[in-house]
Amino acid sequence: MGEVIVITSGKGGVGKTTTSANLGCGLAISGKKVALVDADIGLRNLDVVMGLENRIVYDLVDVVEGNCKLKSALIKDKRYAGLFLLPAAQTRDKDAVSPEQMQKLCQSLKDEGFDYIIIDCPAGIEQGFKNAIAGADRALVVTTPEVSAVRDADRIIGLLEANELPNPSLILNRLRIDMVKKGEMMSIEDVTEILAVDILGVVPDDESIVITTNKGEPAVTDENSKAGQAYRNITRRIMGEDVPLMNLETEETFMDKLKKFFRRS
Amino acid sequence: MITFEQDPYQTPRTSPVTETEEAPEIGLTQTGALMETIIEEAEAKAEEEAAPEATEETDVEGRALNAFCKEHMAYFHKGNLRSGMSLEYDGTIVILGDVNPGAQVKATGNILVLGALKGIAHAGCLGEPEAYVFALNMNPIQLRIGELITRFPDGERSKSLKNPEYAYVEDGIVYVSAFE
Amino acid sequence: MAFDIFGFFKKKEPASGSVAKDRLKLVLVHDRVDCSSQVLEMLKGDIIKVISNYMEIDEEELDINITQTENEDHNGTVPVLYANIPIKSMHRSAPKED
Repeated sequence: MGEVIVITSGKGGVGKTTTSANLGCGLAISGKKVALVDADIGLRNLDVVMGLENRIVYDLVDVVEGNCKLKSALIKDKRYAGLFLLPAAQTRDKDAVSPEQMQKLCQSLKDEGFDYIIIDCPAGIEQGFKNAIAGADRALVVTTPEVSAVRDADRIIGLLEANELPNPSLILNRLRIDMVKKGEMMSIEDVTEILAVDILGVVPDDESIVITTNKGEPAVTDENSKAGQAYRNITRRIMGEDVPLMNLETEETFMDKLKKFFRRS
Repeated sequence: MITFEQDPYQTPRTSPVTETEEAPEIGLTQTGALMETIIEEAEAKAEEEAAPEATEETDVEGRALNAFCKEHMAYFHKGNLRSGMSLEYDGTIVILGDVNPGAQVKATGNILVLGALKGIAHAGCLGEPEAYVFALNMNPIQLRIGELITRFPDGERSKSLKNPEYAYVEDGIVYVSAFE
Repeated sequence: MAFDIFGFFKKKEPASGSVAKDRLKLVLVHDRVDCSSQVLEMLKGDIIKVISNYMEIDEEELDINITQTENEDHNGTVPVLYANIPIKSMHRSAPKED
């Protein structure tokens, strides 16, 4: 029986789409059959992040309106056999779909035999958000260690609870451990204390995300990427494995030690 | 001449004319042939922009074009089409501007982009295989002519080409040629 | 800059990370309460009803909201229900039982 996971955040630009793409790929690498659903109608992006933008013929709105079969709208990924993308419509808006239609869509994807259905939720708390969470069994909230992102995450967690999606888990994105150490950024503990939810994973701020996104290849496929490693760990946790949070510490340079010495005195 | 790669991934809809049964999925109805015969692309472009009944002395192909133009008007759009915008017209579309990625142009007739085509263009969208797409800078995400759906092979078009080109169908394959 | 020579002599300011955390906590107290402004309105009605049994109050000037105050250990803040209820006059006798 498939599981529908919605990736949401409230605030835009914290990494929902990147997270969706990476978790989708990660699960597919592990041999799962995964459907990535872009619920951001009118502002689709998952297709470019996945590098599949030139294969789109039909989209989510075509499926719910019955213009095409679900199977014909699903785009097979060019790298992994079990990975499919259901793109959002670009020339429509959020009202083109209702929460009931999304529920039906999620059910049909489950019936297709997908192990995981990952829904990339649009930013905001309006119609698009309501659509995206309608068919979800589980929610992942993405946030960054910034006041604005954490505040929006808090609001989203409240809304998820009100919509019978309790206990969402948190992905803390773009953490810079060097800044946390200096006390110039909120730590993992600070954020989890404020939001009071379980943390599913921490993704370090990593240049490789920019590079891989430029190429349309999710970072999870890059063995040398720290962020990719973090996403691989999160993938395993989603599948129920118990993986400890990765060590984000980088080697301390001589200058770091020197700085620390002076600060202490 | 550059051949478009037939998309191997969305096979049900992208492969050549043999799979035309899928056509009704587009949600449009077939209304019979729009154009009697295909003509020289160069002529077509020149005459499309001129008055429909400009040429009396032309050959069979020219007359066919005029017949087509009388029946199907051309729609001129001035300005760029940005992501999320779509333009549909029963006839030929001429765009004086760019078509950006994420924008879509759909015409029952031909499409002429006097600018860069970087989005999706669908010429002959009711299934007319003799429609063509012309652009000053041909770099579409996807190109659809009649019932064919194609894209450039991955990485083929990363550098922007500045020469006018046109795309047409021959034997169920979409070709892109330099316009001279 | 290799290291912060001038910062070395400056008075220690709290690091921006903890400033962020404190500000965020304050904002969230308001945010979380804002979600139930309806409840606050109901609470206001109930308070008026109960107090009116004992004294005459100025309903126009009544002010109820939730803010926060420093906790007893002076190491953080706790949300408090703040009510300013101006009394016009006391009822001489206990409320009538009907």
